Amino acid sequence: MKRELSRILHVEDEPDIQAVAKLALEAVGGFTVRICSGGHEALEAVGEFKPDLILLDVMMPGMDGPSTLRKLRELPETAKTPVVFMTAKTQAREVDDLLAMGAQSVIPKPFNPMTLAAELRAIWERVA
Amino acid sequence: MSESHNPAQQFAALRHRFRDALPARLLEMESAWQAARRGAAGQFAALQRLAHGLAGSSAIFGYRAVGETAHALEQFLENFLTTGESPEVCAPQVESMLAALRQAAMSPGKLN
Repeated sequence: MKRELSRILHVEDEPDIQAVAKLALEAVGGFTVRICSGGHEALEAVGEFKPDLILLDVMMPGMDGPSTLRKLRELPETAKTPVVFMTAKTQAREVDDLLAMGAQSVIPKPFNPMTLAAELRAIWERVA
Repeated sequence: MSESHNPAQQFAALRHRFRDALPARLLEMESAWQAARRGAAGQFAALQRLAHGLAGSSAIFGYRAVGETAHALEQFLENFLTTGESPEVCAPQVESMLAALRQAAMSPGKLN
């Protein structure tokens, strides 16, 4: 039987988005959530937190989302972890580029906090 | 008083917090712009990041006018940064957009 989605690592630098996503994932979705403010923090957290799925902002200062994904894929613990990008850049070509980098899906911003958990469960069902 | 566990009420509280913090965010952007005009290093890029953050937050809380104006400013600055020109060259456009942001933010509680 497939394991349920339980632990989500959210990588996002904007505090308001962090707070809304935390609400969406914990209070609405019932997930266990770790929030990291950037790529470097995420790379340090994954070994201890062991996420089932990583929700990754694209535009972040320092290490951006695509760079973070590349580094995550180099780590044994996250080489195959489903990664979902979140971005306001949702032109078809931009989405295709993000998927070609190895993400399993792209969720557009602004996201709906009341349906984000269901969207991630649907992605998990499809890819895990 | 115990914190509401109703997600919709929690979201409404976050939205109010965002609205109350808008003036301070706009002031921060104005400060970054003035510093950029004085030639302070990194302030032009800092203003672009602030605009990006405001655009994202505004969108999720339904402040469409603020979000669209912040996004336009973000895009303008992103393009201008690649030219390497002095901030003075784009001052009229930036100041116009900052004024539009102030105007959009002056409607407290106005959601789209």
